[in-house]
Amino acid sequence: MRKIKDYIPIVGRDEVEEITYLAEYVEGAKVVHVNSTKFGGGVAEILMSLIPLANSVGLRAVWEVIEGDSYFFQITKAIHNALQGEFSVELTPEMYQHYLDINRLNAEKLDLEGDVVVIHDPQPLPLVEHRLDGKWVWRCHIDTSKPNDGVWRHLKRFVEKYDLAVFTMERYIPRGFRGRFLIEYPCIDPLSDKNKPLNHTKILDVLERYDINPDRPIIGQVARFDKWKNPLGVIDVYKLVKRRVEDIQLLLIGVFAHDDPEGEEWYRKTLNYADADRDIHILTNNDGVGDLEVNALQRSLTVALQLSIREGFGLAVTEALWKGVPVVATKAGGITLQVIDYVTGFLVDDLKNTAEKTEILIRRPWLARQLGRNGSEHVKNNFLITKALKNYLRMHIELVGLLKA
Amino acid sequence: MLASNLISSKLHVYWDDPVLLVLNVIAGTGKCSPYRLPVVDSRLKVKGVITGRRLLEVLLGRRGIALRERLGIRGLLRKSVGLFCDEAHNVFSEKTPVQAVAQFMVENNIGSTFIVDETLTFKGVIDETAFLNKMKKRRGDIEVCDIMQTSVYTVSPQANLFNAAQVMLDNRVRRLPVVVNDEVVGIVTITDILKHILIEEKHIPAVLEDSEFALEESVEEIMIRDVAKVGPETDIGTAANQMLKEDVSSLVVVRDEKLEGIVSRIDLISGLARISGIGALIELVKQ
Repeated sequence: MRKIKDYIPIVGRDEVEEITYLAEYVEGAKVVHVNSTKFGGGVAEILMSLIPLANSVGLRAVWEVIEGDSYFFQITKAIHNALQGEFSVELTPEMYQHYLDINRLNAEKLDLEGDVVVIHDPQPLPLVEHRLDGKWVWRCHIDTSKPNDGVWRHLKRFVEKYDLAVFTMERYIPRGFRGRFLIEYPCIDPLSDKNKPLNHTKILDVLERYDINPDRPIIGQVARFDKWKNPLGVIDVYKLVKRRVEDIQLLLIGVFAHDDPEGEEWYRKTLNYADADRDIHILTNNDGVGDLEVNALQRSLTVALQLSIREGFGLAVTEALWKGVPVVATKAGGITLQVIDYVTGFLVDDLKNTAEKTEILIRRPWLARQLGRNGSEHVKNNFLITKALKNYLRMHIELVGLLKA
Repeated sequence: MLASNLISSKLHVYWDDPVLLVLNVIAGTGKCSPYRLPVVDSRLKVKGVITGRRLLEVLLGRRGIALRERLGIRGLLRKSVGLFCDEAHNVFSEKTPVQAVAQFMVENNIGSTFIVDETLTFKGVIDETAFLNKMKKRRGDIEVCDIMQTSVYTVSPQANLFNAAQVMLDNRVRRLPVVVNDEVVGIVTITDILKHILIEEKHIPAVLEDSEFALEESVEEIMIRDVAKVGPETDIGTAANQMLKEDVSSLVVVRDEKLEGIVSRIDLISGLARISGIGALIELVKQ
């Protein structure tokens, strides 16, 4: 189990001392986090690191996961898409009722008694209807700047019942939202299996296992399989680059999350589109790709791509930058906070431009190294888990803070 | 040119400074007080950021609720600002090229970035001032009406300060033009309200008891009547010059004294980049 002291070599003693100081104000407070999956996706990853870390500084943090049938997760995926701006989504009364029913059933089963209860994303949002004592916080990880009005009208009444809402960026706050809010950038854990330093042998082992040649350039994207992440566009870019850099290989790495019913369909679409090209490697957790493997595969990339059309924050970008890999990415969501044009990577508008910038980096290893180094430093300054922990601690102090002895 | 060459302010407060002291700094005497302040520790390591908005939220009981209940507002004002500040985002190494910082600020519509050295020691802030200084002599074909915000929250002179404060906090704006029949008669900002709470000593005990009572006066009692205004056809370079000269963070755009819009410092910079391309801004920065 990682302890806060383990982070001293990375973030310094000052930062860790500040965390312990803040933690004393909320020592012993019980904090319940609720989301919709234990596995897959940025939220689960953050919680996986944050919960033990919060416990190690004296909080009593627990993690609850809501359960539902496949219809429920189809509905919540539709809600997710609607909040991200898909205007064609309609929530029928029947869907809405099922969404509420499943949340009610979960409210009966889950431990929701905490000094602070943090509900992540829209899936468990209506749990607030069944709130007990304690302060309730809604942590919205997605871009809700232009939500589908019909769906947002249904959800808004739940959001208004929370004591505080936390958004990723100020521009993600939905129009007309008037409650208390905080802004918190997402973060990565530098000591998790997905991000910890790996030795070269381990990386080579993984590449060998998946029949990837370490001596040839590798480009790739780590993302769920769905239309917002544009996996087919990534293949198009690969094909464009392949015309000029013949030995290039492409890696598409995705994880099927329990709360994402569209994953299978888009995975198949991507496989078909790759058309059995031997240099395209499409890998998922079903191929044995766990956190350590993602770590090794990301470290092997010459250039990381992130061609998302809509994006919450883009933690895959943060991870690539942390590992010193330059990123060529679209300007979706939080990517512009991370990819600084010509400093940590390149921001691009279209596939042709993406291919050009990717080729520039493949042909100039010194430039790729420099941008990678800058990227790693940028992540260290802005997006490590210790910052998120501090933010959470301040939030807890604000809501339930005690006086220091 | 590196980021360290464009630092426009080194002002900061310390992590263990009491909230009351920080209120004194933010509600200072200049027209354009430092709305946003870096919070550092004794070794100048960046610990966070505190804004006028956050202070007003604390004073009005929208934030820091638990400590306020236990300590009362008097006790809360004596607590260290480190408990109420936000995490410092947008921290850059001093070796980052200044063009990259400029592009980052306009891409994300962010008005200030913190510059640190390799040990995360605070070196200064790059804010809009640095870019406005470069812009002020530029004359081109972009007019204020091309880049101004046209949907503007306003307030009437008779509204009380508490309501004006709520409108600003609810809608996440820093300033409200005061309007009578579409005519701009004044402007009130978050900083003005903080100043009012602080300078008018009679209000301090009232705030300590009940913030709503403290802000029962009408907006017209504290609004700035000499509003910094600009016509919609004004060149953005001229507008930048006016902002710097008058030391204000925004200009109210009027035609025949009627409100047309508002333009802030970051609007000028982002607007230039949006219309003339990011290259135009970068060229300007390099000069």
